[in-house]
Amino acid sequence: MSTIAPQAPAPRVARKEATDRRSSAQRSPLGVRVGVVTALAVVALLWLAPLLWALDTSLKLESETTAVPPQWIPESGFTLEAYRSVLASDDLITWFVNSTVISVAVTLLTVLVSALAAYGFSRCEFRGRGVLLALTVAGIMVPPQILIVPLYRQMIAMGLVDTYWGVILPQLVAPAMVFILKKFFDGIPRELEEAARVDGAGSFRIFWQIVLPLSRSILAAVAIFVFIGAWNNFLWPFIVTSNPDLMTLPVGLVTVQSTFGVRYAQVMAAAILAGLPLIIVFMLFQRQIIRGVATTGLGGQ
Amino acid sequence: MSVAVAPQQPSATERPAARLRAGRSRQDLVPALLFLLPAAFGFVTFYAWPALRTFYLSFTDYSLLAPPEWVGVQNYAEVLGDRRFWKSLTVTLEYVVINIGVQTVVALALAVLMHRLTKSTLIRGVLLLPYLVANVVVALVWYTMLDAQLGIVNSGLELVGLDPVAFFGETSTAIPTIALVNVWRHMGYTALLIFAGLQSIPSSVYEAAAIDGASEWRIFWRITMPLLRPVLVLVLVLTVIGSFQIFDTVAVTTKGGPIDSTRVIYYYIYEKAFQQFDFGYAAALCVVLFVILAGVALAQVKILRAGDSDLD
Repeated sequence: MSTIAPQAPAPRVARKEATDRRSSAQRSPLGVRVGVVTALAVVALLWLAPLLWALDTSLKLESETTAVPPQWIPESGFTLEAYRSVLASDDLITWFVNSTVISVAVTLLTVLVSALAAYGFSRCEFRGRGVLLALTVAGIMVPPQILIVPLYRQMIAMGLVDTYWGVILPQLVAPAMVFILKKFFDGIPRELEEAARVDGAGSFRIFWQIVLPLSRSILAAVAIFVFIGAWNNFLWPFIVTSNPDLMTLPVGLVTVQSTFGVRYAQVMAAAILAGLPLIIVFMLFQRQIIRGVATTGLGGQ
Repeated sequence: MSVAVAPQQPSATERPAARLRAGRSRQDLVPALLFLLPAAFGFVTFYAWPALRTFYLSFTDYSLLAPPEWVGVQNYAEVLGDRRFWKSLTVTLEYVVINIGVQTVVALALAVLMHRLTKSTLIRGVLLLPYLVANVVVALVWYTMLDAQLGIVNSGLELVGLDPVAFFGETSTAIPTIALVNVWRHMGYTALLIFAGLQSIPSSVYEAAAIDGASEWRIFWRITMPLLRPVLVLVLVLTVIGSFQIFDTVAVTTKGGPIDSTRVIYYYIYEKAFQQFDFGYAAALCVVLFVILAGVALAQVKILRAGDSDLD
């Protein structure tokens, strides 16, 4: 594995922006760079091809979706026909509303409950803190899906099957988010809080008026990822709802999938509509989301 | 490891501090309880208690209609002799190996390329986009595109003179197809995680390597990989455990078929519990799965740590 550089000066250039003109004449690393970036761009486009194809298909007449050979631009032009028929049945709108209500509730409550717990862990000394923290970390490693069997039984016992709360409540337990927020709170200097305490502010006021505003960026990151997870969640809503009026979009799409049959334009239109809110969220918060992958995905490292 | 202090020493020096903390501890207990109460309630009701119940139910015969009936280890004995369970386990493992293998290698390559060549947010955004689309929607789109007769991919194959492939309809191709579809969805996310790890490597290290005239290849193996290892371990553990959760794509596309070839472990648990109402047996399957997952996670951390120490 002793791969030695063929030309000593050449690799040196790959370092930063093309500042070194001399060596660029020797091996044209700028050209290489442009080439690689172009290649990356082509790959990126291919990467998105399935999504573009879904969008394209959703804008076609049903009869033209399976034209041979496949066409990007259908002969009779684009149409919103598929969207019209999908939206004509109330189902999709109902599921859309359900998904929105459930995802927003899950996001707000998860962030609130997790932030409270994280702050408790971060600032309070009490017996058993270490044990509880260890439990939290263990909770990150145990996927909650493994609990569906008794959880469903419990929902029956609590009378929550086929209710919003039945879908929402089990999704609120987010040990990973507690852990991430605790790590962030640990990094906030305590002087501010102590000053406020001297001024007579209680723990909750300090939390609400000082700590939370200081943590806006991390709270936003956590909120966005909880929302994405809740919007896309399938297994639990699928198990706990059987009433079509209470289904979320993914569950609804799967249950009617068979009735769509080979009506590709309609399947794709429904899929696009289901994905749209997250695409909009993404466009609005692209930078925060990309940064948030690292903060939430790696446990606040 | 260098700070190995005699166990008794700190307790002696910390006594005044400990006493102080004990005083504070009483003072903190009430707010701490209030802060932790909502989360603790949720954790106990929807996590800890169901976990204990899973364990209990796995020793019972239970169908929701009548109260659980204790049967001892009978469920576990059945699991061990259950041909379908073993099949579902191998199918799941096949899925995880393809899914994680392809995903990790390509995501690592993409992350390194991005790190060395471009800081473009646009490219990162494009990579991440599929992750935002629900598993279910991704599965629907690919199911349509890969349809044996009408899908665009097979139209393309025919155009270049190849035979159409029944991607989801053939026992040999179904699992690889599902694995690769999910690689598509999840790879950008994984690449960004690794990318974040790369950014934590100080650039001075790369500058020093460049001054020494090291090739990119050498830089990758001698600098990037060793320094990236902790992040890579974390990413692997998380993605492997996530990969075992495969359910959505199967539920949308193949529903376990053709001929059991895609009945992954979660789909089997789902069928047992929610289609055949054999909750006790399903609970036993969950416990077995838990043991496997815990073992896999431990093994990963051990193996990758062992590699780590070689480098010092």
